[in-house]
Amino acid sequence: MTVVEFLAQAEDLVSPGLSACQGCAAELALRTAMKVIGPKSVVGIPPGCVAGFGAPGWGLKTGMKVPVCMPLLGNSASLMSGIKQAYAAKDPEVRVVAFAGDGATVDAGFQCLSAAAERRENIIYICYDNEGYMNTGFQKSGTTPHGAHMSTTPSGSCSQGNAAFKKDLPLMLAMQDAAYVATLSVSHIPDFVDKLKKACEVTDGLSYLHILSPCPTGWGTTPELSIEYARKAVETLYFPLYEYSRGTFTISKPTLRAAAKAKPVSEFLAGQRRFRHLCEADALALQEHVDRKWGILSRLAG
Amino acid sequence: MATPRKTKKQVLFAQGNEAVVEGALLAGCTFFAGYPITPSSEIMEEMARRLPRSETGVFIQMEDEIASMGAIIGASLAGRKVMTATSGPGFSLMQEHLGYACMTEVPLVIVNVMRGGPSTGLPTSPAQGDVQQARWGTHGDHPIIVLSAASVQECLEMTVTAFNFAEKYRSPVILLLDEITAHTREKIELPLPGEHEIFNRVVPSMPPEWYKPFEDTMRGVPSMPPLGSGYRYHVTGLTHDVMGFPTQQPDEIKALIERLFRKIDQFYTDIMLVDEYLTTDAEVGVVAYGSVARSAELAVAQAREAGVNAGLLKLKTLFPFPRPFVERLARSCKTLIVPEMNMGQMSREVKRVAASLTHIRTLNRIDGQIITPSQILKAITQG
Repeated sequence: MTVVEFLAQAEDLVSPGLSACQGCAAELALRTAMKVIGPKSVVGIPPGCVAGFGAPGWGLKTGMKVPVCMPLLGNSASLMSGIKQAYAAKDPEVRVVAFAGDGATVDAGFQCLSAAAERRENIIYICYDNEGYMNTGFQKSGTTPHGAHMSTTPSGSCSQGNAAFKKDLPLMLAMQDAAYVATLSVSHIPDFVDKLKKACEVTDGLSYLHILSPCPTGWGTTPELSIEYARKAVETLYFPLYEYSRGTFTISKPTLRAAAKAKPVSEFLAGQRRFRHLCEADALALQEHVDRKWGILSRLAG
Repeated sequence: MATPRKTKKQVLFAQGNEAVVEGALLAGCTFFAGYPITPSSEIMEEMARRLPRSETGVFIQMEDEIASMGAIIGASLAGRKVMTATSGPGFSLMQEHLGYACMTEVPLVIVNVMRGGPSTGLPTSPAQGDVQQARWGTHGDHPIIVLSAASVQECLEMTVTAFNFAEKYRSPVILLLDEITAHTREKIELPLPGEHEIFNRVVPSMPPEWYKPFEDTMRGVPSMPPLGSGYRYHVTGLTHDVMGFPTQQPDEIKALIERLFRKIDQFYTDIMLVDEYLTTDAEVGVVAYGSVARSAELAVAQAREAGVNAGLLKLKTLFPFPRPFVERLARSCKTLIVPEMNMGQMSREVKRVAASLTHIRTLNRIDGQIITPSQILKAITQG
């Protein structure tokens, strides 16, 4: 069965009529991920865009066809650990999933995520990374890229946007030897599905999946370009796709292809309102950061 | 030649959250660390724009509210005037640090824009459910100063007051706003330079070798040098002696805790701030705070038109509880009404001090809506 056939026949476990912004990649990521994870699962969605657009349910009209709860911003990994441990004795095949934004993952929720990986909790933790607090007014988060204009890192006479660089959670969890770590993009669905299947097969620890999720509203792009920006992020090595398992890093095929003739990061930056103030030097700083990170990753996978 | 004095006040059309920023900058705040949370985020966003413009201004976005408190405590120890802003869920996370700041006597200002709770609650709706948490949220016996504001202009003024109290009494000060006060836009006037007294913490004047960091004095408030300025200064959340080092000695433990209470209690006339409106001849008194006090003011005026002698006691200081003012009003009124957007957190305090003096009625609303003037008017006319 091809990926297309698989996705066509798999049941959509997320209700229609969610109020995500047009072009929101997180909704696509959620629906696709749940098709792979399947109905025998319990999901936690902390405060963030996906909770805000009604995936856990506003009333009985929206929601999911699996049990779903809404933890707090800072406790998804610990709360889902509790659910998994409670189920483990009864039915270890119940998949326990956290579907959390970048703020809930890399900022407020990092401590409990790291601890859950260390305890080798058998949960699937998915981070949809739209690079900011996008449902509360576009404040920067730990994954906001360098130079981005956000409401708490405004560009102006004394600032060129976010001074920090994107926090690399997947690499951190790989260094912690989480059972399975992968980066995913909505522009490369076969790779996306493949990695989710692998995450579901893990029985001895935490799977961490990091999805880059273009956000037209927060990034200042038009809705129809979300997939294109996700693709550009891969092709420019801004967001390399790879896997980590049992001490081995594997660069995924789309990124291997892209690395052969990597495009400049400026192609990813172009057309995004959050980057429009950037001068050449800022773009260069971002390019250098991307090159450095890719250097580390390719050596690890070497 | 003397520069001409600026006498015309600058007028702004601002939100309560923006007025807080104006007040903080006026009071000399140069350091803000925070984590965004509705309905307080505008304070942080405005600070992100304003603070970097000054030479010494520091704005940091932290990874959560626990870290926000850690950063402002550190900066305050280093001599800065500091602030953070949050709402209920974040305020809950701050509680351990709040106790640390009480114990280490670190001046700081926390603005908590209250939203519906418990937990994530109602992010964009007003409430007053954090009143007792502000008083008793952190563990252990401790005094604390809690202020509130009813209008956008008051947001500015009470923020200045919060900084002054924090510096004067070496204490954390909590400014409790509610979503209505924080998000309402109205006209405000920026004070003229020098119009508000600005208090800076007292730094030691003796040579470093004579300095005792937590020495008891008449004021009960020790002087505070910036950490690293040459004065030996041990900082710990453990119960400590006058030198700041941990102690198990009963007499030293007792002396510390008693001083912490005394340094706030003995200055209650300075700290307890209220506004009284038509209370002199009032028969029905209303005790209110925050945005509810504005509904109450209109209700009292309408009651007067209808021939009922009503009066309003608006609490601007919530803790230490303005007991003398409430007692005085209770003695002259046959009924006190306490309207508030919770299940009765401040009416508990009113009952505690005035239950034997008058009849006390509660008026509570917990549905995410404001208490309207007509609701209060109805309660007043029912006596």
